[in-house]
Amino acid sequence: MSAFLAYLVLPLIGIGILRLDAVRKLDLGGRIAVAGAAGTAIVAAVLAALSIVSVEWSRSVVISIVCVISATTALGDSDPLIRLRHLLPRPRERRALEVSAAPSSVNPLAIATLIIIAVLLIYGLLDARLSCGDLHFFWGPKAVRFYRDGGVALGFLADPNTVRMNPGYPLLLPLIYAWSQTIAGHFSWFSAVLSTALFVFGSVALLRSTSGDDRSAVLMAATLAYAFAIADAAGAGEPPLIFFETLAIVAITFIRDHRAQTILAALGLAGAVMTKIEGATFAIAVVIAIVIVRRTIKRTLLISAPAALLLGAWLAFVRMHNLSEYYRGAAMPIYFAAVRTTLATLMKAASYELYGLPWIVPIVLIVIAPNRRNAALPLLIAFLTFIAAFFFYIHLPDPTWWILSSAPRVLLTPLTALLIASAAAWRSADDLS
Amino acid sequence: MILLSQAAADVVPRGTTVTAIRPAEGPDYDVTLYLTAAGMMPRHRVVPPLLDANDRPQFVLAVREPLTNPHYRLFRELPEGRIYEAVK
Repeated sequence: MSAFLAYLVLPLIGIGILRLDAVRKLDLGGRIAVAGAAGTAIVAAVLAALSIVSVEWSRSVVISIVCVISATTALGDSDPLIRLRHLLPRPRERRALEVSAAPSSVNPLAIATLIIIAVLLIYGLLDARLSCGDLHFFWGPKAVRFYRDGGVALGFLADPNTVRMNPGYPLLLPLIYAWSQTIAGHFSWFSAVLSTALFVFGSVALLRSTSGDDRSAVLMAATLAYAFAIADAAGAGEPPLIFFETLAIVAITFIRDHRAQTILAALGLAGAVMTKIEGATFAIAVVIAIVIVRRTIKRTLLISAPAALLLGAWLAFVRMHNLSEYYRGAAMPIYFAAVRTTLATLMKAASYELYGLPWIVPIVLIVIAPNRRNAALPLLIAFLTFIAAFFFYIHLPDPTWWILSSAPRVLLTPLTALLIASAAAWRSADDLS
Repeated sequence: MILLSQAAADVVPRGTTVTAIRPAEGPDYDVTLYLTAAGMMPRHRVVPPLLDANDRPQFVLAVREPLTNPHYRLFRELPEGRIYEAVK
């Protein structure tokens, strides 16, 4: 139980992000999700920093440092209790809960549907049917080793016997799993799997809160819960990756306050690049999309700078210690003879065993939407990340197995961007950034 | 493999080389099984499943079927699986 509680307290650790007015204006779900993203980043940064300065992880050391950072960032210019109150329902929301008369902005049918989808997803997670093999093969074992070694041990990452555990993969997810172990004193496989629900519904809360569109939130919840189930992605890198990617996309699409938009998008990109290799591809796609659609070079640089710095530092570490990595996959030879097979297999994987309905619904919604131009930015991100997946797959002469085993997870990124695009297409220009 | 390697961590002498397999998959064993054991047995040296190499692992964790290999003999049978020791 305490292993799962460790994930639940992440929003409290990131409470300082509520100093942004635009974040305070989000609804309760949005505030918790954004604070959760900030808390996740803080915890991962603390654990990584302790390893860099060779301080062994212990519960007291880690919790003390995290509490100090959390309190310092929350203090700012006012009482931390005021910040804590911002995590709680606002008076209007509280009143609505107390008198059981939902405010007009809340759609009870949508909320009920979201709850049903959440229950179904949690049921699927708890019977371990949706677990990803990668959790057992490297995400989990890596976290267990880090925890038992008291930090990120270079000897373990550089051991030739662990080369198949992807030592060059970024560390955010194993560090978050190690945080859970630090709190609980052991690694809980079920808590790791169950954290998927937090990341998926954190993504849904981000879209619902920033777009103000309950129906889009229901569509996203249903689509992602189903796609995660088909992809067997629970406990793998995709849940936090999609969460951070959603934060970045909704920030640049829906949040109008420039400062908050820049900070949240930067947090989303930084989290994405430090979660999976695919996060780097996503960050590049976001940068290209902002430059093409918004033509704002300065803000693009500000949004992408933290991600670029973190990725650069990680790659320098990987290179310095000659760890195995796949970042240079794009430089491998391309097999044009495999294009046809790759395309056919990719389409098969993208169908999600439902005739491609997860894609068709948001595409139709965009086509019939009143403000299609509003979807341009997330739509371009969806297109670029889909093309990037195809590009990487044609670097093998016969990528069939690779595509079938990974594409349902890899394609969650363009699918998420497409869902956000469909929400944006139904917003008026005044609702967008 | 999670349960077997957790149990084996207390049974197999520390510092020895260990691998993990499902015998029915031999000789091309699934290399991912030993990765799970690598996470669960930090006090052992968990290595790839090269059972016929000269520097073969000292212990083999086997899930499901028994292992039939002249280089190994049964070391311990647990509810989660079997542990084999290299014949010296």
